[in-house]
Amino acid sequence: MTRKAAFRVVGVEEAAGAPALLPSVEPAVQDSSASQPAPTKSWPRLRRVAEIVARHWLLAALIALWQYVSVSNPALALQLPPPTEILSGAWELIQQGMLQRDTLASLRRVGMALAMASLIGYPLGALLGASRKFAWSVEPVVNFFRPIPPLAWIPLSILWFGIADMQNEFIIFLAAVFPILLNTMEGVRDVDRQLIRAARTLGARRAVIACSVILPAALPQMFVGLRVGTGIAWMALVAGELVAATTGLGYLINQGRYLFRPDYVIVGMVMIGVIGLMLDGLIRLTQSILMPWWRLGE
Amino acid sequence: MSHAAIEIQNVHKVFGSGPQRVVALKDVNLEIGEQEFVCVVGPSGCGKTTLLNIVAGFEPASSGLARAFGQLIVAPGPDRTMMFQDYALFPWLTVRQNIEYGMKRRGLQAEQRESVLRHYVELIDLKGFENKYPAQLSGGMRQRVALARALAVNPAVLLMDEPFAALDSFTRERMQDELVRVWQHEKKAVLFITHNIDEAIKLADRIVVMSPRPGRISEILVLKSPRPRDVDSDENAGIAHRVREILHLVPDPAEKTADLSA
Repeated sequence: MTRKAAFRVVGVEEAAGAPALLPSVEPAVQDSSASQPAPTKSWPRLRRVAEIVARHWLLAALIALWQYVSVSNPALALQLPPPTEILSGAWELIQQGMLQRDTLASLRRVGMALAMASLIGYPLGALLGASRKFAWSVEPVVNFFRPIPPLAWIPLSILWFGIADMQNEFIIFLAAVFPILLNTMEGVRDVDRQLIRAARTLGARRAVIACSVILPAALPQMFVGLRVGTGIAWMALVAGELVAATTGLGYLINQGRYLFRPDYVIVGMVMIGVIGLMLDGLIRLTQSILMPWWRLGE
Repeated sequence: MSHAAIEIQNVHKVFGSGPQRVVALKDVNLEIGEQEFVCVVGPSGCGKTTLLNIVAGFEPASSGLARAFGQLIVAPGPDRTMMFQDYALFPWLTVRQNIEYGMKRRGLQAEQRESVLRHYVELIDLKGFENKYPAQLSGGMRQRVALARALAVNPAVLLMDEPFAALDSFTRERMQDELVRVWQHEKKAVLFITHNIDEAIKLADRIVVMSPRPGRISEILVLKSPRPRDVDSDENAGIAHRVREILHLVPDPAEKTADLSA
């Protein structure tokens, strides 16, 4: 029975990814020792919260310092109002309905543009990655347009579309489509050929391999494209709205400048940052739901 | 009339052309019986993987014929499943889904799949790990899943491309024992590529010894002793010695001239 005892240890090691040293003859473990030991619930969670709070002490201190300096120096406060005044500015904007209107306008533009960029970037990128023949003549076109910064398109796009949603969406689209397209292309190109071969020997045909092997294998890289694309899109949005828009967070910031309301400007800036962070978090959440296997081995 | 599982007749394989021309396989002839375990040993560059790829249907021979059960091999198919050195498990599928992959392609119903799955999970000792992802398993377990996945479509021929080369030596020996056990349980034609002579002696009915430049079969050795085999027995040590003799001690005339010119 010594073997059985040894085997249990092996089972645990194997579940943790360590190489097995001893033969396991009995059926493998099914009990809890096969999975990670369950951690005690409440205590580590409390610790994590405490850790997060502790980590932000410097940020909190800087905000407090800002408040102090700004309040004690009225000349400076005209240019950099204290955080409390920014909060009341935000409240004003919410009561007027401006903050909601501008946030929604910006989100709608980014949403539309990202949808278009995905609709074009993913299939085109997949084709570029899958077919050398296709890439041979299309890649030069992509490489011609890619280095032109999306912001450089703003003047031309105003000539074409005027100061409208369409113009902003065009700029954001240009910002997002290349990261999506190029990452998808790389992802499809880098699919492990052994996986495709394995699928073929198991009887999968081309169309099935595209869906059941190439798509999931390229998915992590496709998500990288979406994350990078969304990040750049959000920046391009603000730039586009600064120049040519009558709504949106970029417009809000610009209006703040005209009205000499630095608190409005800062409210807009913080909002842009928070939403950018949330968009990224949303994509990562989607990714972890869609790909539970992702980063398991690390 | 019954055919051999695999028939390879006068197969040549040439890569490239002009000065880059490499003869990967030269005049290879081999037959594998329906329940025969054939190991191919040889140093790298002897064309053993090329031979396997031709049998698998991944690439065509430059000339000559390769048949499986009398049918010309033109493409990969689930009658000839393959195991790879780096497992080639689908990382986004669980153990269960990996094993079911080929069965789904063959259109098996869920109940049939479940019973086959249960059979192999038990046979290769993976009970309790059905819902794990490959990244959560050790190398030996991953290769057992790959074996189950390859066997689950009930292939007539199992092709194995140095499947245990990436494993540590303990796990490798254990996998060899397990493969023998599984194969004795469900006999199939096996074409097993390795560069490990002891591995070939433990597993094979016949050992095909290949030499490089150009890749060709030097000799075929027949092993008759019952399994499990003791690699250190006089008979098997003699066979190992013979393989080494073929590969190292008898200098290849072509190689010799190449060395002189260099």
